[in-house]
Amino acid sequence: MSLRKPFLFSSVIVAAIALFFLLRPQKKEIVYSEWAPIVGEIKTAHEIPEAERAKSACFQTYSRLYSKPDLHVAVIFGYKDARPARFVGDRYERLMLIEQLLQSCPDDRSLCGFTRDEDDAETFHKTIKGLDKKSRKIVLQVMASAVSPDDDENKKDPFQLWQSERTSKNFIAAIQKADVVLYNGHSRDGGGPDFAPPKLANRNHVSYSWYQSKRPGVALLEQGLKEKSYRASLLGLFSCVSENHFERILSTERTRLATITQKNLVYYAEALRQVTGTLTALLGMWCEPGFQSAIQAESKGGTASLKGFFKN
Amino acid sequence: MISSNAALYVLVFLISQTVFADWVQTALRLTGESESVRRKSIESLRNESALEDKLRNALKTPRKFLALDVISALKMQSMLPDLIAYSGDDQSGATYLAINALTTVGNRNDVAELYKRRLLRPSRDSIGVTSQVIMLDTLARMKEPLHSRQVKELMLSPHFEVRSAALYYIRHLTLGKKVTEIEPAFLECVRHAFKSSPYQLRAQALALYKEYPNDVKSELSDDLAFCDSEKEESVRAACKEFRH
Repeated sequence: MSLRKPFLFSSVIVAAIALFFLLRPQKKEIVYSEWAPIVGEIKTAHEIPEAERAKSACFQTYSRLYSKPDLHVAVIFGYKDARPARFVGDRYERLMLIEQLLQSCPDDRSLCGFTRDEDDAETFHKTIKGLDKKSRKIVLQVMASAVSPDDDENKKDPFQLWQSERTSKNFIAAIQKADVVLYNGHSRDGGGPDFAPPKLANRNHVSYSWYQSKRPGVALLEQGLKEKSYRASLLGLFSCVSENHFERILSTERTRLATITQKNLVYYAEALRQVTGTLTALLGMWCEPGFQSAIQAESKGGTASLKGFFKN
Repeated sequence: MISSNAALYVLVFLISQTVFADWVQTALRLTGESESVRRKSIESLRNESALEDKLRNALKTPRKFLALDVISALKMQSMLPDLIAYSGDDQSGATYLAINALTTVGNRNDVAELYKRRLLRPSRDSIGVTSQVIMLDTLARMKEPLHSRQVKELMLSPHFEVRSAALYYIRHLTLGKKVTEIEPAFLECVRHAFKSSPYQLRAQALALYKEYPNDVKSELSDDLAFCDSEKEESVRAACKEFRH
């Protein structure tokens, strides 16, 4: 047998393997602006003609969401350590969002023009027009968990204990008293959400076995949802693989609590863009295609999963 | 008919275009994955051709956060001049975190001087509040001395987070010291925080009070009278917890 036939056979096998990698779904190219989402044509609930409103899921959803004089939104950053490094980033991420909130609104952007409460650094206000043209007051609470960027220092600081306890309590209170709750933080492999310095294993790595066993964050979620008259109608969990980690508890509430969760691991800048995208879409009353694009933080496709929000 | 050599070349080319991810996909594996994945990603990035040019271009795009993570993870000292130049316009502050990652014993003083120059000039608000807070936090952790007049100015910033970072700076420079070793102006700043709005600043000052030794506490105890009329529930709880 000549060498030519085995070589040709090997070439065909290699070509098949190459074609498989060519044709497999590629990770999507992420293209987005600094913080605001890049989307295509945006339709809002304001633009829906009167004759179509009764059947429009977009119009009906925002009518319900904005049915009260105030819309309460809570954005709560979990303790975003980068263990085994000492760096903790949520305090800075919160500030990046706040800088955007406090900017004046030069065009038709919606995530801007807020004023901060005089005695509460974590509460911001703005007035917008509802679908009935009457004013709605937006009360936006933005909290972080870390008191400094250094996890070793935070563990020694009594201010950290005070802040973590408050943030945990406010997360539960937000589910009960706010219309929209957005968590941006760690999933702790299903033991989150988490608002405190992490429990560590050896060599300063997070002890995921502890979180999987104790699941402290899930207990917080359950406590928030336990009071059956809770107000939240949308809960966003912008943390790694949250769709999988928290599906059990969220699926029991699906008829009354819409959710935004993550299918995959999520990079911090992407999660922050997803939060700003969600807020932009909610305040602008974007209909589903634009809303979906905004929460993905990129122009097409992504990892965020929206369930149960748009309905008649 | 295609020669076997040509076919082999085409196959190798096709495989190289599909199997080997670009720097972006590799960089995304620097966070959220296991330590071994992170180590392999770092190795792979070190072997990426023309990486510096790619990162320089990325700094001007929304992909800059990923580029900054790569520069930090690979400790690319050669990129420090680019970061310093770029940081002047970076409203997000993320560039300063990358500069911090590249700070060594050898360049520490230069970085501290750069931060002091930018933070203490009258036009500091042009560089963004997040950037100001990151620089002040860094000076705090370096225990870099600032003039007490400068710290007082920062305590009067119109931005709450800058005032909070100034109090954090004071914490770093005063903890572990006796009252005779602490600049009186710093204690004045703590007293000022007890009476300030928003309430989060009052709570932060209370927590700092708790950490002080008894002689410093004695110096400040009269200023805790505000606790008796404090309206905010969480600060009343902090008064109860930290005052005694």
